[in-house]
Amino acid sequence: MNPDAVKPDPGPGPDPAAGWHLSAGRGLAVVLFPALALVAVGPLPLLVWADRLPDPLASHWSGSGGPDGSMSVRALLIMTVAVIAVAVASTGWVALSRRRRDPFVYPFVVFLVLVVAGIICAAAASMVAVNLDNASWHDAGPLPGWHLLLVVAGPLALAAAGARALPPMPPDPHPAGPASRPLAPGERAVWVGSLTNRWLLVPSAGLCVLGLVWLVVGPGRWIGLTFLPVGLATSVLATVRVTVDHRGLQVAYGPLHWPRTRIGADQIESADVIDVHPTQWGGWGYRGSIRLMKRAAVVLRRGPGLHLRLRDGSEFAVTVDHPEPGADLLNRILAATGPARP
Amino acid sequence: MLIQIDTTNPEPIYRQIAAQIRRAVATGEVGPGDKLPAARDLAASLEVNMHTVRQAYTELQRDGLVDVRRGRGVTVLATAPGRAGAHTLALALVAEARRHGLTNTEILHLVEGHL
Repeated sequence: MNPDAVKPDPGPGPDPAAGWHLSAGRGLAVVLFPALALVAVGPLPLLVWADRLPDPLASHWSGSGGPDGSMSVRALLIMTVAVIAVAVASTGWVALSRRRRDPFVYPFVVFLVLVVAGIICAAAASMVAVNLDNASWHDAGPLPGWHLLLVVAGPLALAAAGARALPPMPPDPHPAGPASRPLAPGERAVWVGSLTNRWLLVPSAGLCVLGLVWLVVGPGRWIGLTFLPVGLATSVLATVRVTVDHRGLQVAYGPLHWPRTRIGADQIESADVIDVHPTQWGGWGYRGSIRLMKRAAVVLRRGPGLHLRLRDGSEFAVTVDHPEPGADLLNRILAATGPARP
Repeated sequence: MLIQIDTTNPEPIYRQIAAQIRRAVATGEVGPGDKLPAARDLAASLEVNMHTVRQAYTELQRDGLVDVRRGRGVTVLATAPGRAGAHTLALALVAEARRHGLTNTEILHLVEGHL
């Protein structure tokens, strides 16, 4: 047999099947739905009630309640139409693109553009409501607090829905290699991986030292006490140690390897290696919750991580250097103990 | 760092653990300055006695691969990769010599002749 034929894929090469393929219907929805929503909220009320609005409109409110700035209806209309044009161009680019990109780029672009466009259009709607049937912009009442809330929360919800309408992240660039044989009876194994984010470790260590020094010599010594917890808290997420053994997966946080969390082997369905992007998991640090959101990740940097599918359908990821042997060992442990489990 | 032992293997478990760590050092899976897991943690993971792991760490310390300090853990030394590499070659030499029927004394003489 040709030995090359059984060689596993040498690495994460570009995979043509891993590009984004938005179906025509979904692509249209990603472009049309937000665009219609934006038009309905932004330019449409301006045009419909143009004869019931003062020109210029009250567009800015002072802290004390009354309006203290104005803007012409035409300028507001142009502004809303312009941001909608940018939004459509961006969502259209995402929908039509067939190029493979970082899996976080498209959802991020859609989210960002829709948030900005949504806030501007919602603000226009709020201005229409407040200025309606006034003779001059000076007559506009104070801006209601719930307007502000809606102007921010509405677009965030719309943008989140838009980004979610995109297909899930492309397939893993690290295809699972051929499964190694399960652990034989009498064999025992452990894998220990670690990851340190120096960009976090150095400042957090600095904060701790500063806090200690301040506590001893500084003016207002109690201020030093406030640095210490912050430094310690960031150091906990500056370095992790990941252990895979017969008990499952353990993550130990911080330079002292404490606190620790464990996911039992009986909870785990399978393990693999993924590229972790902070934007997909909600940022850096401990993101999400296995129990509440069915999705959690320990993100210290962008890059490879160990990824678990749990038996209850949730998933967990932790960024760690060279996670492949860890994922492989976990699968071997699961294969060895699997049939015995209920 | 992957450490795998076989309890059905007649070779003492502490030597298996030491050999696995030596291999990890030689391949660069762990590098100078890295801290090895605490003996208690490694023992729990491998379901062996803590003293078995301590014995392995002591052997590695004797070989000049790690620094064992009470309360500060076990640290891989800067000179470890080279020494681990030489150790791996020595093991291969012994295995190859035995395969060709050389006795222990002959192997010792063989090495001595090149010193």
